[in-house]
Amino acid sequence: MGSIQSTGGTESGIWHDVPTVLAAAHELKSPLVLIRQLTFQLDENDPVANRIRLTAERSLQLVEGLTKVSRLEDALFACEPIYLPALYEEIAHEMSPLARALDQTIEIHVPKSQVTAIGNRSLLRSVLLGLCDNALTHNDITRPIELRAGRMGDRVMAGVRDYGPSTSHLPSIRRSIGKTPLPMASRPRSSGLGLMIAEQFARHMDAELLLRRHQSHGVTLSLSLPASQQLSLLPL
Amino acid sequence: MIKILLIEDDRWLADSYMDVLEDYDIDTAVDGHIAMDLIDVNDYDLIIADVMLERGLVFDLLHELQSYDDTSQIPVILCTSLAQRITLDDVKQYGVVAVLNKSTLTPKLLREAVEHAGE
Repeated sequence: MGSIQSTGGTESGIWHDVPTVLAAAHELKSPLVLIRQLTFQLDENDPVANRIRLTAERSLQLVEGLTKVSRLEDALFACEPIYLPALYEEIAHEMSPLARALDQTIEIHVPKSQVTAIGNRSLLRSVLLGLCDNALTHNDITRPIELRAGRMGDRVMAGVRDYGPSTSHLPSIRRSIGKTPLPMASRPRSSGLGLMIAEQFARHMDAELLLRRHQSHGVTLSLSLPASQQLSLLPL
Repeated sequence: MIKILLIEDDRWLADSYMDVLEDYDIDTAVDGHIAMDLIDVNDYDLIIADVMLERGLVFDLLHELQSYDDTSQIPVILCTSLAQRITLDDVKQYGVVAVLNKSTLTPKLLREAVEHAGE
């Protein structure tokens, strides 16, 4: 058993200074692209080169999330039925190089039916990649992280379970960086920026970011999305 | 041998691309003005260009190239961090044949794009 907590809305914090965030994100992109590109000139079997490249890619993912967040208010995001098992295969495939480098594994735990959600595919993909990255940061490497999904009434829960230390500080991810003690204080390797980005994306899909703290160990961070009623989309 | 003009204002990144494309004859320019000067005196088979350059966007240059019969035929590969916001349909009118995302670009993808554009 565990407890479930909503992250609530992010109405304050760094998003109030969007131009600065956007400028900073753009400025960071170029050096990160260069660092990543330079690693291709090193021995491809060198594990250090691989770690540098993966670190640059994780950082690029964050700054691209930031630039995308800054444009959210001006954009319309079309929602469509998304069959989660297929999306999870994509996510697991994309995250597998990073997971391997961190000596971790990713497993998919999804029932084969009734897990088609309504959302914006691009935003949902970004959220799940962010949650996956977050889980890989905190997870106990002796256990796989799990991509999970399930139906709850007229909602679908799409989330990532890790076996890292539990946190009791989720509400602090709503606060602004630099003005409060470090967010996610019981998980000190992360500032929570990725989760702030995920929360912003969720708000634009009629979704909610939820945290379930497991008494055994770790947390599940999930999106609660509207379930698709189009049964014809389900595989036979 | 295919002759390429590489327009990239980050010299280290340009060096990295040249390392990947070592089998090609490549000139480099850091902005549209220098690129235009080079195009005036050379016949390029392909242009690889970043979008945001030291002195403005590359589209001013590409627009100008479309004004002349000979230069309008040069295929262009855009290699940019803005790839998520630019579709090929948006920029086909400038002779662009591929839009590559700098954040996910690999040597293999770059070589394949150049080979494809050169066909």
